[in-house]
Amino acid sequence: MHELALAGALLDALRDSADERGIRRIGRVRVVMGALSCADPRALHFAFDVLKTQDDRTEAAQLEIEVEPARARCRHCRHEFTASWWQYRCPQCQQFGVELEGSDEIRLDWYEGE
Amino acid sequence: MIRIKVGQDLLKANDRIARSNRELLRSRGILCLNLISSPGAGKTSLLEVTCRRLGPGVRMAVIEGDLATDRDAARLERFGIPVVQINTGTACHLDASMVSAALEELPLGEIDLLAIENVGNLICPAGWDLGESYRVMMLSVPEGHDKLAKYPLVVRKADLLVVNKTDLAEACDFDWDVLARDLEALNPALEWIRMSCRTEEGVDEWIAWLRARMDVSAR
Repeated sequence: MHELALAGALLDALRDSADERGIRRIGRVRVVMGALSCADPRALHFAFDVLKTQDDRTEAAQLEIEVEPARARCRHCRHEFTASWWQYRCPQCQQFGVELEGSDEIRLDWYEGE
Repeated sequence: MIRIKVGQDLLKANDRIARSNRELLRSRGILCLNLISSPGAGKTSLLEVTCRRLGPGVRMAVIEGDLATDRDAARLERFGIPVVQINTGTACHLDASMVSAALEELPLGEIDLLAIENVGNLICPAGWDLGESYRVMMLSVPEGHDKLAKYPLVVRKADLLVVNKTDLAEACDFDWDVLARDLEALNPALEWIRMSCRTEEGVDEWIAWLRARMDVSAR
């Protein structure tokens, strides 16, 4: 349900940009999703495919989602690593207390159109 | 086909409205809370006890978000405070535009404290800024001591954690050490209060937390 709102925002952003640039047909659409965004790529794909048919310009659009890993740092030994999901324990010193940075945003990176 | 670089955050439209809500509330000196919890953790009970304890000296108002019914709104209207009900239908969270519309229905010049009771859900509400001053996460003891680790995003974004229904801790084998350890791992700076809306344990602490922030907002 949350992904339905995101798919709506994605299609709004595509239509705004298409209006601005006189694009009549949209092809590949690249979205970058932070690993900590708590949105589900499969659910976003599904919602996008349902909603895209409401507009001729987006009807044939194909969504591609790249999941961006999070930057992580241990508060104890300062070890830096990338985390694919919430990680609480440092892989180096095994202690709890990991700082996770950014990676909760979902952005429209680029799309192809004509 | 040409490739067009956009680089736009999909929550940007929401964030813009949230900023304008925040500016409006700040200009009126209103402290605004966004209450987030699972269904049944006790958000409405917390607001009831808050109304009782703050008394008529603090002018309170509530925006209620629920998929359906106005039962929570009816519970709070008994206190004679303005309540705006938002029925989200199928949406799992409130967003800034829904709050913006609700603000138009409230007498903003006559409010000191505005509580927004979000839809009972620990996942989606964490991603949507409403323009609140503080995010208050609620957890209740029967939900289990693993709840924080299971829903990390909201823990990371909260300004205060209220753990409600402490009177049931023994019956539920609630392990406070697990809770404290997860809190330390996820958000060590997060303040938290043990509370029972039923026995009123921790309510003094909650009211003191609120009053300290209301004094700042009113300035």
